[in-house]
Amino acid sequence: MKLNKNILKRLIRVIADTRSDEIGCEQCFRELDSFAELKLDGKSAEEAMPLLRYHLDHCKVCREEYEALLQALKEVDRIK
Amino acid sequence: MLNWFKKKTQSYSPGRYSDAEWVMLLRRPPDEEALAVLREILRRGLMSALSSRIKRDREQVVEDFTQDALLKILDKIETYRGEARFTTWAMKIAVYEALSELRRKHWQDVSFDDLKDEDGSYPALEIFPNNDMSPDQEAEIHMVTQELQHVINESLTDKQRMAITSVMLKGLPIDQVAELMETNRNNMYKLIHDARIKIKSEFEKKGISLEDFLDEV
Repeated sequence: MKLNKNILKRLIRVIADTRSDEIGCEQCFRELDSFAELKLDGKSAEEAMPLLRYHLDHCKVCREEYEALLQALKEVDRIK
Repeated sequence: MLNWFKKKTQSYSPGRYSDAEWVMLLRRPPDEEALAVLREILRRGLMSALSSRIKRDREQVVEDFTQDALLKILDKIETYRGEARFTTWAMKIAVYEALSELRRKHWQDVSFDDLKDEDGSYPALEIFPNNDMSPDQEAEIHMVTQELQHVINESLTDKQRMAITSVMLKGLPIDQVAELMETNRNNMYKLIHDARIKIKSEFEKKGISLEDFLDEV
């Protein structure tokens, strides 16, 4: 399969960044609601939950769910 | 009159009930009013979050997802641990179920045969020629690509190779690949994680610095 330079660099970045203490999708799911609330409350979710942030940066599906959750919660916050 | 009006206008606010009240009211048999409020909260959230992902019959699709989510939430009510607000926890479940289903429908016709070349082998990695690279950069990229190919072919297990090729190279969603490989998403993440660790280790053993490569190219 053909890769361009940027795709290869992204792949190599992901490999280079690999950590032994990464959390999986199950743990990410368990903690995602807390993370989302910290974010929406303007607190530093990344500092509080760095492994979850790392997982979201490296798991497209979990990141998609997180972004959708944020969107949903922002809409619900508008309900008075 | 004023109280009735206030109640009506506040009907669907997440703050209508406290977290403890939500759990109490939704234990079986669930309170109808609480269910209606939660349904509307979920419906509005899903409509906003999913609108760009649903092309047709949006209202009906979101209604269906909302109903499915409600059933799931009622089933899992005793697992709510209060680490986030109840409505946040419920919305998380709703979003997860809806997106999982959307991905399943989108990718339902993909099989592992689609990921392989005609001879049944996994695609070899090649780099597109790039005119803005110096000869040194080209050589560096060629070397790393060859090494990556070598490690994927020689050092990974069949399952790891399948997982890395599908998710990292072809970009298939991790949950769909998990289903194809008859496992779950968490196990798939661990499989890919183990493969990444192995690849990283092989590059280190050969004295190839990935950070230097990323800086130079």
